[in-house]
Amino acid sequence: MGTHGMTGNNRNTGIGFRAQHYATIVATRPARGFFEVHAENYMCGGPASRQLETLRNDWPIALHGVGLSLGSGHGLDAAHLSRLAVLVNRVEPILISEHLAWSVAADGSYLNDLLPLPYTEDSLAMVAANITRLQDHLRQRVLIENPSAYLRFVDSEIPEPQFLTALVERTGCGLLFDVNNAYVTCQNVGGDPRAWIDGLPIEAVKEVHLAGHCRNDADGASILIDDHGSPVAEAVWVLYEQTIRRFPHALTLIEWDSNLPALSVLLAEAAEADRRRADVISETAYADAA
Amino acid sequence: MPTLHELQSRFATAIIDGDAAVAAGLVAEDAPGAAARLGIYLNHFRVTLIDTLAAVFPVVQALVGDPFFQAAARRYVRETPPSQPCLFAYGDGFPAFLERLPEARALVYLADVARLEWAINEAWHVPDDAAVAEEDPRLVAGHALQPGFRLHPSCRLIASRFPAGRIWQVHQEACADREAIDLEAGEARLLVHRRQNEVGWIDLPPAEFDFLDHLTASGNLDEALTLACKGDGDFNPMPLLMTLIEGGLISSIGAAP
Repeated sequence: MGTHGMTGNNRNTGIGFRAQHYATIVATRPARGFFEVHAENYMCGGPASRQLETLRNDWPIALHGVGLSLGSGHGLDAAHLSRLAVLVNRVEPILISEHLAWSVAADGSYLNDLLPLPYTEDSLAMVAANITRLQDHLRQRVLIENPSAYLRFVDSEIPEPQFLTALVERTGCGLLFDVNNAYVTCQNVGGDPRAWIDGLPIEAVKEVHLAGHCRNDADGASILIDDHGSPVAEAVWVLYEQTIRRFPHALTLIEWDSNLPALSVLLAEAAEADRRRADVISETAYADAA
Repeated sequence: MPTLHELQSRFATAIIDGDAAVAAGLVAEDAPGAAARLGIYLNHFRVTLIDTLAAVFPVVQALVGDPFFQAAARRYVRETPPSQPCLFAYGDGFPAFLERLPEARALVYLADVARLEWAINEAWHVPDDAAVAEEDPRLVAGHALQPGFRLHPSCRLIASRFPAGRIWQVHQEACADREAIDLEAGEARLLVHRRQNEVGWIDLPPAEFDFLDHLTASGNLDEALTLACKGDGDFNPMPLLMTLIEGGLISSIGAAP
């Protein structure tokens, strides 16, 4: 990793890399701490893979998996696990993350979403076994991200923060706390995101995600959709400040995937995250000194 | 309480079949109701995968129009969901699906254009490979084409009774010359390939196409030459091979001298 960090402080907020921004990134070399890429987009060769090679020469890379289906009740797909391991060896990421979700049906069909789990003892045992297999295979700690949910299963009995905490205790995994997902889920199915933040183990949270959401009408009631297609909402910024108070060492990332704007818009969001983070940290330092 | 496996089977069926009722009993009835909440997942599956196909098959979409494409892609997604999470590999069965689609039968060239678009997509995503250098000493007569001959992994041979390449070209934004295409104007025999960051193709005469087609499929030089010479008694593979080598499109010419 010796060549990393040439372009800035790697505590700086990172941004999700999109191929449409590649030329601007290479030409303007923004002083961002790291880029995060979706692992599945790079499990191939060709121009996409070459772009990632260029990026990783100058910036640390975080790998964010979306297709491993850690919540599958039938275990992990060995072929996909191998693809991920090959990519990890090639990219040497600073962080590897996946979701507390499932996306692969028992017949192998890929459902192209981060589907919710019922939070039961049955699920906990299964997900913990899958995470252990993943970490053993990669010989690395993996961060698990809380998903956005649009529904609640009748049989769910464990609150999500407790479920995540139990996964940390059983597998030694880390956590990626997505502030927007926590906000969206609590709005959609109930819960207090402030209590979630306070309920997660401090040492485990290594990364924080921020993104925008939108509001849809369904049956005359409103539901929040985690579309990563707009600026971070003010309510989510406020939760972010609380998140940084509790997890000051976590890296922050701005995600933007749909209605993709110019790179400068993402950079402005990242600068806003830096500013809020710095304010929280200096206020905490002042309080500690006083 | 259903097991996790049972719950996921029902949820997956609801998503693939687009039928929320299959899984509604699993979901808490908060307002909005279970069907509306499930509908978000059902819709996301359908819309994102139709978009994935549209990104790979833009010329097919232009040929049939958006409403027809949406309906056809929707049926394909339901019949053939992705079999793994790398979506750049999704859609390999779409050309054959279009060929079987009764409503598309009048567009006789549609499946061939789809095959060309799929070949272009594959060429984008295959890993790089070594290329044989022009000054390779094995290129002296007698050494080329030993067992082990291999084209660059991006190479795809596409044959059509119709001018599929020309149809593709007139649907590109950069195309300046959009005269009507005569479907009888001639067959297409294309070698699709990627060089660095550019995907393109070479138009091949019939004998060269048959030669490469046979050589890449069987690896048998004698048979490939015999086949090519049937169509063209004067066939000499060396000009084609030199063109491919200059283009960096031959990854191996076989055993070391």
